[in-house]
Amino acid sequence: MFDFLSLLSLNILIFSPIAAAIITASPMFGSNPIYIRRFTKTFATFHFLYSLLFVACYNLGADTFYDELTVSGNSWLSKLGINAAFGADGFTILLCAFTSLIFLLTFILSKTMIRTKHKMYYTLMLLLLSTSLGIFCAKDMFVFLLFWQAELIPMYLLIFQWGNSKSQNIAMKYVLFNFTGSILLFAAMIALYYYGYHSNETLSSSIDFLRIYQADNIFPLFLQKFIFWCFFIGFAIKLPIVPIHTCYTSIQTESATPINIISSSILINTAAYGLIRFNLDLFPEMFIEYAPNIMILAIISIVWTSLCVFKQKDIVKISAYINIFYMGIFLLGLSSLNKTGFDGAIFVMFANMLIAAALSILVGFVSQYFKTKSLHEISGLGRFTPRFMFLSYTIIFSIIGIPFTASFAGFFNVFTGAFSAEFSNELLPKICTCIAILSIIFIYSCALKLFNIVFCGTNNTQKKFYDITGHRLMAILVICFCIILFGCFPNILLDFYNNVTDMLVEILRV
Amino acid sequence: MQFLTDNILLIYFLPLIAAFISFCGFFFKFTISSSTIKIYSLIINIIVLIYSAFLTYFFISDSNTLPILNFANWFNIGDLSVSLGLYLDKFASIFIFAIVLMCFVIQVISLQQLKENEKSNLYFGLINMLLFFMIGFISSSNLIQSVILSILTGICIYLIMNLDFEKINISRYAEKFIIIDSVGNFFLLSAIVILIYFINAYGLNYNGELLGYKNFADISADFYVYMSDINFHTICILMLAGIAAKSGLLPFHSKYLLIGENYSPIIFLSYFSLFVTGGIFVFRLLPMFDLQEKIIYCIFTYALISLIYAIICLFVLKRKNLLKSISYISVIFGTYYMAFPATMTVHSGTPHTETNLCLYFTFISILVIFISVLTMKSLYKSEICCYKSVITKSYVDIFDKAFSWFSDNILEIPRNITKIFDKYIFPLFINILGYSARVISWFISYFQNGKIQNYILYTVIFIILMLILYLMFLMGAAEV
Repeated sequence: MFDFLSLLSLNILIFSPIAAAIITASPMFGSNPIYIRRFTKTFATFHFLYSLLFVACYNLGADTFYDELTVSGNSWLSKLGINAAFGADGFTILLCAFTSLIFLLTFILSKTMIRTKHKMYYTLMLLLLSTSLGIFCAKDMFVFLLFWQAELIPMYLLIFQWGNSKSQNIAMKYVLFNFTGSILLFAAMIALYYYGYHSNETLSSSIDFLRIYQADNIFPLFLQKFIFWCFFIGFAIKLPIVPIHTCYTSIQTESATPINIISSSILINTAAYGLIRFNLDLFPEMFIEYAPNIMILAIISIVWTSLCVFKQKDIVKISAYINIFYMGIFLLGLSSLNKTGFDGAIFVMFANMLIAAALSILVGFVSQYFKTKSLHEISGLGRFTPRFMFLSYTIIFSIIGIPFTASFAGFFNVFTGAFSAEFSNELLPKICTCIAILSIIFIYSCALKLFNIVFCGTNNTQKKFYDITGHRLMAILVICFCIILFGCFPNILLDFYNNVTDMLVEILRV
Repeated sequence: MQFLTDNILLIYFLPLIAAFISFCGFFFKFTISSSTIKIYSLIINIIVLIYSAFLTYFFISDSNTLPILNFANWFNIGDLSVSLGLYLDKFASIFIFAIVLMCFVIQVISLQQLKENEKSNLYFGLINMLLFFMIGFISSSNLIQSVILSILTGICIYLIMNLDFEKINISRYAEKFIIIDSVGNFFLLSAIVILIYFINAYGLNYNGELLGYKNFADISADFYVYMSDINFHTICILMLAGIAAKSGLLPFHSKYLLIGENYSPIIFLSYFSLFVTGGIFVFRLLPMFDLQEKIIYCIFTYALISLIYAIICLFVLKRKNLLKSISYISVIFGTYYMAFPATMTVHSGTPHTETNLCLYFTFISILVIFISVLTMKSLYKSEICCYKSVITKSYVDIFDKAFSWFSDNILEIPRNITKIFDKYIFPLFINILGYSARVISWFISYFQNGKIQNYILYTVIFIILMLILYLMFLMGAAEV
């Protein structure tokens, strides 16, 4: 039998989009948008298939994948202990596959949504794909930070170039917010690195080494607290959680739809990943200590967003707030400190990747149909677009966690886990869980209100709308299929990252 | 029998196939005409109906063994696994037959009513989808599956209600309906989350099946032993509140009014589904409620309050608004329906059985009077059109005179309600109807060789037939 494992290389997975970006940017294509688009879509299709190969091989028994980027046989910046090491377990592999899929669908949808500067757009998007994958696979904290920072450049340019009238200000706001977060991450990493070095005289920035240091309790308590909160705030800015969510809602309002898809489904999940890998994995004691506070933050986020959604008149803002709500649920699961909660939190992450993308597409289509984002000027689309309407039903129902859609298993696990959380204040997790379940009713009614306004009723304008067909239908069908697939068979995902959650629980016990 | 149990999945997947065909007919314009697709759907329904009739017959005539199938482990909650399966007993088989019959009748009636509607294929698809979920719900093997399928049933009713989505009022009603339904989901899910917490805490998982109905009596008994009273009561009350919201009972009765603003077949189908949802939940959870007399009395008190409230509302309305009247009758019926299974105590012979039966006959007598009078009245002089509540114009008939006399007097009751109920009504019902209940139950049991199970079974059949009859009456009233 052919050894597929020999074909798999994380370096190829992460850096091939950069190579494709270079080809796209080269004068080879000229500025013909059709060729650029076709090349990018073909590349993204192969990239997705390649990522699926990793998933298939993981299923066949490969536990982890490990790769190292070397320069003439030596580790990169080996004198400083920095090496471009990449690793992937079941959790990471899934994240990579989902990222690759979302980018592929975004490329497919960009045909009608991006009308100018195609060359630049596709180049930047490919770079963004590479940086996102780099964040997920980095085994070295400085490599992680490098990709984290590198993500800002294409995102800044994408928001700036393809946004609305206020996009220049928003792009700057995005950079400032995220740069602040990055500085905090950098400060925390420098502190970790140098304290580790002076204590053990071992020079390495590998995340695995840091875990060993942590197990030996070489970091003093005050430093642990400082680093924990630096990491937490750094990731929370991008997650986002209330009250530092304003940047995210602004980006969603002012950016083009494909950029919204990426920022809502991929970029916020990079922060969620960071919270798991750095805050929870490296500082379990601190996480246990601050879990009640994190749970309260999560509840504030959930309640605030579920109430804010009601007031919104802008469909894009509604979608943004729903994403923040999902991240609140994720944080609630994470703060429960038990396997059920972790299982649910990670499942919510994956569900959010699909649902946020689907919701952005839905909102993008609607605003494209009506040339407005205001709820007052939208109505009666369902009569003209029955197919789109019934696919939107799937998306709306998955947002509110209806059984057999992707979010249900995640929500159920999070709530069960959060209710069983063992804090010194026994009532806190119980009350928080009840509030979280109750807030779903608000999201429920708001999502249905959005649906009713958009699709139901009559449209008085003389404009004729056409139902979705071709590539747009295919893209939304794929997402709806995935939502139902993972809703009907949640164990497909749960089994993949089962060992990761087991490991997290083990770390907490130790 | 062997064939029926071996191919039990047919009864689930035939409606799904019918739904698929109908959906395809709506979304993709086939060369096959719309009416042909409807006929396919009806033929499949007839097959399911015959199948369910045979199944019911075999379950009633024989079969002490209950087919329990666990299809798959659906997902894990920590170390516990939620499975999908089916649990068929006499009760479930009767209800499956009833729901299949109801859906079939509705489809036949809708053939004419929705003849000109371009979304008729979608409508047929949704009815079959509802049938699929209802059958799944009735024969759920565990509590979590029941809750999940009841959520999906609610969604299906919402979709059917929202069929004419161009009419914004209809969409708003449907939206309100589903929000009330989500309140029920909230209560039920909260109860399940708490139950799982205790299962985890005390290791009460039986044979790997989480909250399975097969062991539900044992699990409930363990809960009762391990939990403090307040926790046990909280769970029971959450479940009761969930059931009330799911089946549109007080204070969630506006569900019926919301459904009422729709096509008449949709109204009847939705009402029926809500009744069945409430009834099944109470029946399946009865081993838990039955552990504490307080809970059983809580159900009865709640049922009585709803009943009184609905009756008072009916008189206050003075039958001016027929739609509202029918909604309140439905509340009465639904309340009774919820309270009824509580009378079928699992441990027959416990001290409160007598009281239960007594109250059961109280409900029956009141219901028979009001439902018969009101439905006859509806048939006699009234009309309901789609999308509007029609006010009856004249009050000349004998029933109205009786009503106005009765309402003038009964409205005095709220002034002294506590006094009257404490001193006169309750003792009167319990003493007089208690004896008659005992006599009637003895009488029926005697003719059924003294088997209480048969008595219960025939009462269930009677109730279902009465329910179908009642809905048919309403349907007739709507078509006048």
